Amino acid sequence: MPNDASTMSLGTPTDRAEEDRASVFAGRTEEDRALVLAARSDTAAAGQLFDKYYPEIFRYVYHSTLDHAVTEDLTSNVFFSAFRHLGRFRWRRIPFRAWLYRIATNELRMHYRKQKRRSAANGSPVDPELPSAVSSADTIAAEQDDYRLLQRALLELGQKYRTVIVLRYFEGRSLSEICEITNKREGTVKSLLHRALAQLKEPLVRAGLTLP
Amino acid sequence: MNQGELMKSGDERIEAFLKGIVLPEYQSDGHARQLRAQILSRVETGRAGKGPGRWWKTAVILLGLLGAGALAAEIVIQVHHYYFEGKIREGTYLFSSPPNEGGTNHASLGSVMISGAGNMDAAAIEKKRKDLEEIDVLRQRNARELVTVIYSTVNGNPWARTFCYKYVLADGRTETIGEGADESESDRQQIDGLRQQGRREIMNVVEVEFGGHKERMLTWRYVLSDGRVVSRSEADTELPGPAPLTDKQRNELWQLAWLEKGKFLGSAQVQVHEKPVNLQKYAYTLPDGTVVTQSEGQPAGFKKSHLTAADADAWQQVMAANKGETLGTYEEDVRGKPFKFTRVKYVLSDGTEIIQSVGKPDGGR
Repeated sequence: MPNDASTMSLGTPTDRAEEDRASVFAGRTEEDRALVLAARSDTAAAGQLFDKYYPEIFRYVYHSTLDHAVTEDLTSNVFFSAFRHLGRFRWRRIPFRAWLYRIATNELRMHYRKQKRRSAANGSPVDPELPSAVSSADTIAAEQDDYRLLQRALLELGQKYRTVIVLRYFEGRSLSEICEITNKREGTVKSLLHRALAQLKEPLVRAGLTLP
Repeated sequence: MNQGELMKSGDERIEAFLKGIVLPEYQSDGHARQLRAQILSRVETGRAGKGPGRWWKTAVILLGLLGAGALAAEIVIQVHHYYFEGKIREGTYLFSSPPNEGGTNHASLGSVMISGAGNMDAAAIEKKRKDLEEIDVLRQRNARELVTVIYSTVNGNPWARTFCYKYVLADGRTETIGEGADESESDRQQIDGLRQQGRREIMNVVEVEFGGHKERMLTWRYVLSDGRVVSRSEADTELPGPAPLTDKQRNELWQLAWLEKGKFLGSAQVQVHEKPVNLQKYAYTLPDGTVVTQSEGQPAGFKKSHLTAADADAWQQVMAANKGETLGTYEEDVRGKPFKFTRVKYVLSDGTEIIQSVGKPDGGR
């Protein structure tokens, strides 16, 4: 199982919490291996696998879109796609969780691209002051002003920057997991995070937020 | 404080802000329940995870004989990479693309078997691999033409529904690729209904034994309301989970069975869903030395419903000798366009009967 060893070595050695998380993560891949194998034809195992990962994938998509309907659609796509191709999932490449996140990230990318194209076709450029990813139905999010402002600022970033910010700070993914999800090296992920933070500062300050 | 320290300080402030943010939460129990039920239903009917013996049906390049599906046109293009998996036998090569990472409309061709390709050297294999990547992009753009539709039965059992598309590559060359046709939504619903009512028959049984595990794949025969006969394979839930074989080993097992490279161990009659089935048992030695036992058989009244490599070769010879018997012609609309079909029966020397209906666009209508 070569990927597990590399998974652990990708973590930041000085970060004890991250090391612990990497070991737990590696252990969980063992459980997943058996579960994924069984889930191809065993509905009980498929149900377990679904229950295990549905909440976090749903949360990831929701934190990225803040739209109830879009979150449900994209999450459905992620799981249909994953279960449809369960038989072709290869353990030696990445753990199952990272694979699911990768599918979800691709779904999000396609969603934003379609949205951008739709906006362009309608002659209405994406307005950073009114992100179209936030639907009027999501008034529940209105209470979290900071998060709304942050979402608007994130929409000004490129998809690759948005992805690493959401994974790292909203979903609490370790560097090694982000490497697996994005299929990038640790140095590249660190660089993306650094650039993303730098780019995020300007729209946040413009929106009147006082940084701590 | 130098520039680097200033930037770090800025990063830390943003990080502190991000770490302190209150994330909105949203849960939808209704969506979770509904999606869970849909996923489990597909697993149960074998549509979600491909079972042994089905993966290879995903796609076949047509260089003379077979072929086959179609996907929704989607403007967003996803680049799928293809890999050379190996040479199965003389003139037959296997390529594959990794699991689809996009939406369901972005599925790649999956496993692609190229037959009748002669002896391909490394350069030819690499060229073919690149062609497949180009074809995949054309396919996602729906820049292709449906040129042939083939329905085939083996011994009266549905075997393959194949849609063949012509692609024009950037350098002007053309490739025709067959894909297994997906079930229509109405067919799918009807099959689900028949399944729930138990109105179906087992037409083929495959059992795989390895590492103390036994798994069973059943192919069921359904008769739709318009008289069409269709089949669907699914894992038998009466047996515990699948044998612990990797995808690679499963692919190798399928190849060995298709090439009939097993050691015959004997036959046995077993009860499968209260039906007696005669199973022929073979031991297959995989390239890594692993020995896997696979048995296959049909219930009384059914003959084999698929072809081995040797059958395919024999069929080629019968076709080449024009020994087919034309049974008639008929017209049918396929994807909204008129097609004219010719039904031809072929009988192999061992008595295997193949009826192939080949449909071409009917320009006259």
